[in-house]
Amino acid sequence: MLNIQELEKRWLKYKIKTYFPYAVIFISLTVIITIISIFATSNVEKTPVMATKPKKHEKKKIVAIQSPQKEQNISTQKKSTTTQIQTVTSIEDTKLTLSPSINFMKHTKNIEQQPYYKVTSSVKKSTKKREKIVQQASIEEEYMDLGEENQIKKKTIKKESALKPYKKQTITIERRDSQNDIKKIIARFKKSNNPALSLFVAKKYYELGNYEQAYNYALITNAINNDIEDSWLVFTKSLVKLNKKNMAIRTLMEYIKYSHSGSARILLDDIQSGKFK
Amino acid sequence: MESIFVNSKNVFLDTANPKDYIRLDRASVIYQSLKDSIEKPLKMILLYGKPGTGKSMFLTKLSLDSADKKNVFLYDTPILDESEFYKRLAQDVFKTKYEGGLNFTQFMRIVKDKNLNQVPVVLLDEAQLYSEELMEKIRLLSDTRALKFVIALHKTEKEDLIAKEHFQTRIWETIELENSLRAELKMYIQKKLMKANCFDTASMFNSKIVNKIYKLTHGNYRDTNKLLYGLFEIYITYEKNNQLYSIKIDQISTKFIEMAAIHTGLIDA
Repeated sequence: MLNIQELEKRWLKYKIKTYFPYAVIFISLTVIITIISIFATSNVEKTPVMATKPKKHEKKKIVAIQSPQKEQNISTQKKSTTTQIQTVTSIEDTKLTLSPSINFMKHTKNIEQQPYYKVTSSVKKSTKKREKIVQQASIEEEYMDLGEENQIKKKTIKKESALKPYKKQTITIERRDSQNDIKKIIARFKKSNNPALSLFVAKKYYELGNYEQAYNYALITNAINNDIEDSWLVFTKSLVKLNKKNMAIRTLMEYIKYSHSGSARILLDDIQSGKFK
Repeated sequence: MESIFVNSKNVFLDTANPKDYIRLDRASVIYQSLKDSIEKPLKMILLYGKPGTGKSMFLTKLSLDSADKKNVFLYDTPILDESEFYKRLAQDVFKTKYEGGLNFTQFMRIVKDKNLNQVPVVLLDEAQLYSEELMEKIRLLSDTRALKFVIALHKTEKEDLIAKEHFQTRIWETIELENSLRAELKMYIQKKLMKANCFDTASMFNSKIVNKIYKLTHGNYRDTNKLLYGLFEIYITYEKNNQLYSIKIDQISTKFIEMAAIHTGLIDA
């Protein structure tokens, strides 16, 4: 006759022994999962802060891309061919406005055909319901040709590329009529009171033959900053064109006394000799 | 009315009774090859395998099956004394009673004098228990072709050595017995039970239960018999204590199998 009670005790002991490793694994896994979940929840609390950072970064990225675009467009203008511009990815609609840099004067001086850029970027969200959302961003570029009269070109560069499989952007660069541009720049000058803008307007009016306005804006520029040589030159050239040659000569002479400018001296000689009329 | 578990328990009593022999495909093929080997002009046949693989059962069955055809003599218990071994052989095989001690030379003389028409077959079980000296004598006896030996021994390193030293240069056949496979074990259990008309208990052994048994016994017939004997003993005890109501009757309880394994020492708990 078997001692069943004893055998059952031994069996229970054996079962506990058998399940012990599984119990240890289960408990340790539970502990690990608990620890991980605690860490995960603590990270979730931080995520909103983390989430805002990439947005800022995204904006910066867009701004950073503008300057290469600028350079690219210069070469585009020279070659008169369309150029592909880097695509900017943006989830939300963004409008970017580039203000003229302080180096603007140098550019206008060295490169006669240096365009002035107004770059706006906007992302158009597709209103159609599609599985793939395609966004288009357009950048319009406007420029004024300073070297050649009425040589205004309109150029549209479009590029659609898919950085992400479901998002596309189009960058459009357009050159518009200079009359409208002058108005816009005047408006901006009124806001910013930037002498570079007023000088640009003066030069543009001079090129268009509006010498009175050129005189006015050269004078305004000079009032803001009398160290800008070009404002003196445009001012005196405008005086000559307005048949105020003597006044122009007197002004230049005073400026030469003050600045000893070579360019001013050459212009004075040209006016006096009659080369410049 | 006797409990079904009592009958089932008795089925698994560990005996080498040829009546309890269960025909399994693989075992039947091996047994047939052993029978064929006896017909061949071989001096010695080596039957080896792990304990509990059915060597003794094979020899017993062979002895029974060949009783009316051949001079087959089974020695299931080793005769360790050399003189006694010769005397038993002289008496059983050659019908010669010998008083006092009988040495190898004297026995050889008896063998030559008798010169039987049909070569007697001597089946020696548990041959690993014979001394090396006696094994060498058995080898010499087989060389005379006056006697044919079927030697069953456990497969261990030591027995392999015996096989090398004593039998390697002789014309002999080796037959290895192995543990059963899973499918064979299920058939073995069910056939064994059904042979004893224990159909109810036979149906309680499904594949899951047999797998559990196989895990514990590795298909060894002796261990399986021991385990199932213990298992039905547990069932009987529970039945007597009226505790079976809490146990499923449609299939064998794994708890009881584990308890039987603990009881028989297959599980160290």
